Amino acid sequence: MIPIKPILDGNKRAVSRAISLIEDESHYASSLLRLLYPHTGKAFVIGIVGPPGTGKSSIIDAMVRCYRQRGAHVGVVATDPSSPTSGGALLGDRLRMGLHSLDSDVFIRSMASRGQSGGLSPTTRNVVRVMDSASMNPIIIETVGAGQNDVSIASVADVVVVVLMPQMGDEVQSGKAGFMEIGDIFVVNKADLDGADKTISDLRALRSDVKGWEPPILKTVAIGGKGIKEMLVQIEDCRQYLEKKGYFARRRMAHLEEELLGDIVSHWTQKLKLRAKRTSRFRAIVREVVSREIDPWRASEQLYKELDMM
Amino acid sequence: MPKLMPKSNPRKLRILVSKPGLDGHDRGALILCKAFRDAGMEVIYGGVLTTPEQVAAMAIDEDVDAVALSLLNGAHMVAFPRVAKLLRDSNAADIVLVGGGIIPKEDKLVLEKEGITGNFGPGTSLGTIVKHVKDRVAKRSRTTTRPSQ
Repeated sequence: MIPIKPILDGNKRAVSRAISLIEDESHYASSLLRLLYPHTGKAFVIGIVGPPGTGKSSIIDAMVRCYRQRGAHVGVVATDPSSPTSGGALLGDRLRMGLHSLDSDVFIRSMASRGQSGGLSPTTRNVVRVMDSASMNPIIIETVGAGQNDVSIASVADVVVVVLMPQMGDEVQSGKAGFMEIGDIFVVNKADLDGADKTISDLRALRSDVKGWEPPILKTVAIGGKGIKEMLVQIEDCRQYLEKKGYFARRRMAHLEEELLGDIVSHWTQKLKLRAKRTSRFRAIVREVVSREIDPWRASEQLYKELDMM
Repeated sequence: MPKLMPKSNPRKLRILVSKPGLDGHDRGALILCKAFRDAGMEVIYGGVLTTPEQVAAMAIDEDVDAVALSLLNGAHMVAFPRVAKLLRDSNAADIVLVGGGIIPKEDKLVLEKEGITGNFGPGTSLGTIVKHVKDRVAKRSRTTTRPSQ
């Protein structure tokens, strides 16, 4: 059994070892998480999402500096993609946060996405829980440099910040579905480059509002920290709005519902796959589909019956 | 109740690469990062111009199996052993240290005594370096999770 007191006390080595156990989905992970769970739910979780190279890590670096000035104990989870071929990864986010490494009240952990699409690692949620139990607050999650479809962060974070930069496309891009829909706050970073105002007006035209909250659009220059204080004010305003309207708790409940359903579904998927393969008729049915004796839809209906699922 | 946590995944080898000193020549370090990545490792790039203190702190936060240190400026005899000492002081002596750079033969012996092995010079094949890291990590005994307070 792993002692949890050092984790709760925020001992960095204990926290980092616990995170590894969870990341590797070790046998100890579930018992550890069960012990830690009662100590979670305290941290405010901020998600930072956006395409590669827009400055997410640098923005987090500047955010951490501001939060530290207020004396907060900050946790950061920074995600980069795993290679689909080698399984390796180059995790280069904390490079932009170098100065915080020596701060005993800042804990930064790099994570590889380990084959999961959506912009996070399969264990991000539980890694955040370890940090939460160690009394880190806020916890900032950086996603993989997002493609348009990467929206997993919306089911982990309390508030989502979308980071863009000038000259990334016309206004149609800002109306597209995907991560542009999940922003509570939009940030145009590198706003000292040409075209920042155009990006802002494009965003303004087509942003999606979230239940009466019109996502603010801000300019930042992360290197140098310009606009970061204003960004934190907006994050706080958004949080207060969500809390006042009851959306904050509702979001968290939706996240947990999704997590539980996901766990059940993946468990049953595994079980069903095994059962289907063990069914004596399975191979025969596949052969019948191959030889065009029956079609795939009738075949799955038959299997369904065979598995007693109707 | 179903057991929701699946079987343990084989642990991915995690390695930190950094240049702890006044040496901004990062090409070699970046090539190494890519070689380690292609060998299936999770590589945390700590960057150039770091201090030994930062390197040790990053190694602990990231719970790496190994740290690859590189210096071409002659400061390896100060910086590398300093990283080793800081890790020992943090109860993290089990983290493997490997070195590279412009390192004279007589220095290598001293560094090895400090636990910093490899100490590869220019022209070493990437395969040699990757193998060295893998071998050392395989032999490493991971101290159990009982950090001192």
